[in-house]
Amino acid sequence: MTDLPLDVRGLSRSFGRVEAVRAVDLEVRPGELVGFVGRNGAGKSTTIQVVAGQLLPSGGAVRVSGVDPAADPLGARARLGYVPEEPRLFEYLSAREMVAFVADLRGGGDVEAALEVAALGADADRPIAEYSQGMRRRAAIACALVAAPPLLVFDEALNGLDPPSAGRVVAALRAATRRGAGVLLSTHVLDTLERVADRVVLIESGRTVGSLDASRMGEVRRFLGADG
Amino acid sequence: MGAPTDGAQCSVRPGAVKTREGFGRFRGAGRAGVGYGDAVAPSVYDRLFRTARARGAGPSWAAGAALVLAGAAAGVAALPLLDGILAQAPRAGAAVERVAVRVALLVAAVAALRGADAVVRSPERPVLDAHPVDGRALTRALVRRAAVGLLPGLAASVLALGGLALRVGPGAWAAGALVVVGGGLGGLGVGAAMHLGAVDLALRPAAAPLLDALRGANPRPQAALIYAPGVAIFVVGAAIFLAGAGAGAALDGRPAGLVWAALPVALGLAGAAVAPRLGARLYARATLVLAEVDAAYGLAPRAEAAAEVYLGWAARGSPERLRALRAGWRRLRPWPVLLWAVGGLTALVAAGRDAAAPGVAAAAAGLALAVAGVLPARLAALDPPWLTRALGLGGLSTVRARAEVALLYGVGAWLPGLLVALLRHGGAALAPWAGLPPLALGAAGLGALAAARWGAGAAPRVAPVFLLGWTAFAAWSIR
Repeated sequence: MTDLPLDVRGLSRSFGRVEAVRAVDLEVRPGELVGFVGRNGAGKSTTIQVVAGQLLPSGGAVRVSGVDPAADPLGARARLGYVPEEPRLFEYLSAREMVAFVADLRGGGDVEAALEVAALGADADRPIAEYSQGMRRRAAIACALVAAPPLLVFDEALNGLDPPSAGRVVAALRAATRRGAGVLLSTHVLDTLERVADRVVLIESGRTVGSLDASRMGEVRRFLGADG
Repeated sequence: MGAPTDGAQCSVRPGAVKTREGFGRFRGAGRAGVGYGDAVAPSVYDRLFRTARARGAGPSWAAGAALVLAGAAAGVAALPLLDGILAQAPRAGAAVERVAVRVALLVAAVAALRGADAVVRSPERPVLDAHPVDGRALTRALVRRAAVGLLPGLAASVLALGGLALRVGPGAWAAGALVVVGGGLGGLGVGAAMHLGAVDLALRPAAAPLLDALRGANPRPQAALIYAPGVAIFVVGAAIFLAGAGAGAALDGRPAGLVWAALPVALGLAGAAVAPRLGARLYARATLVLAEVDAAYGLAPRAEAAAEVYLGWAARGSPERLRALRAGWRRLRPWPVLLWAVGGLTALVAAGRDAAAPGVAAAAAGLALAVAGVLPARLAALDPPWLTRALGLGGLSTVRARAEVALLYGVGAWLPGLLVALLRHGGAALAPWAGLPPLALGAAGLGALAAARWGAGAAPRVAPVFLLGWTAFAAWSIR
């Protein structure tokens, strides 16, 4: 195993007789934005949950900047910014307070820059309980970005974002790669991936079945059956 | 929304610390390994919880004050009950032992469940799971918050013992209060530590054979978590019995007994000291255990779901009731277990030869049913607001389902005692139990209505009413 931002080898995860993930191999190198693409139920979210230290693997090995999330979940969390498919936030805080709180947990961070990505404007000072789903997602993204960790893992985090918001987030992810962070972006929005990804990893029935340069997005569309 | 901005404009710069806005006062307080040598200093988590309370996301001080007042009123209303108990006590020490130990056991059971909830199933966990928390500081803050939340109940319990001061003397009351407070602290501290220990056990491959032997139809990791409250209550319960005997001995002229009387307090402090150390290693790993448990339950096919849920047979034709039963069985399993344990105790009491035994047993069962009235609020706390909105929950069918679950779970608390009382004392034993149905229906119904109105915050609001209702019932059943 390596100290790459993310190194996954032979990952498997079963739920009873159901093999959600059978054989996933995945690397995210410093400065690289990797798209993680597969149909619903292909095993993307299960893989990401194991990477984020939310779920134990059944087999294989995972390292987040050299740390095993199963053995040291806190160590792994410190090295990644994670936006789950359904982000959870403290409803009684404002986005500004929530992001500042996360910055504190992580030993510091640029709250204003992270809120700029979220583009909540004056709403950043309203309680999160009053936010729409899209605003919550943007607040969660700001939390993941605030401390500039070496790995960012976004699980369908662009879903439900309007184009300008998605554009701001994508720009922030590119900026993160320029400073050397790795990004794993699970999404169905292939147009976005085509613009920003360096590479796309394909997953099908719990197995990674290919790693394509982003210039070959046509093959990705055919893989997903999304070419027309 | 503006147009997409240039990446350089919205990049987040590593090391650029700008957290003075908003919660800036938290700066640096939560960083692992920074500033936690001092166990007294409030951490970022303590401040978060204070903010939650200040913004109405926790129990209000008014509800706590109402509970304390209800405790004081219960102390006066329970004087006839106390007189009945004291009439059979040969010495002051024995009187304290009989009264305080019973109250302390109840307080310890509630506190042990709160300790478990605090460190394993706290509502903050799903939010914090995405971030690198300081497990030690967080666990300390969670236990502190649970202790603060317990204070009104402890104060109410101590005031409910006030009759001891009037009938026996201030010394007796103080000794009883020490045992009861010890029960609360002991339950909380030992409960918290025991549950984190259970997380460790659930993750140890070497413990798999033991857990498999214990788990029945439950997922393996759940076995460790299920039995943790019982073990905590057993340990603290044993200490409470010793403390009661010690307090009694001290009142009867043997001051060394006070050492034993303080045993539950010492246990609680030890548990509270150990829990943060365990939390440093196990708080985050508890998420992995809970995920395994939830995943195992998530796999249950719907057709078999009813058969795998406690009292699932009672949910036929009522999806709302099945949903509530499933939520209760997954997340509140210690409740039915403890209610059956109370039922076992009431059966033992009812088996006594004394003619007052059925009445005392009915009073004990009534107390458990009053506590079960809080269950709807606990069930409401399990439904996240977004899910409630998305599924259109919170209507009359939800209220009714939650009340029905409280009533169904409560059966364990009264059925054994009633059966034994009938067998031992004949039909005359039924009289003291006659007030139980209105008490159970009232507690479950009021609890469910309050849960629909205030959600998880309903419990402290209805607890004073339940306490007074039970006191009236107990005074009537033991008259």
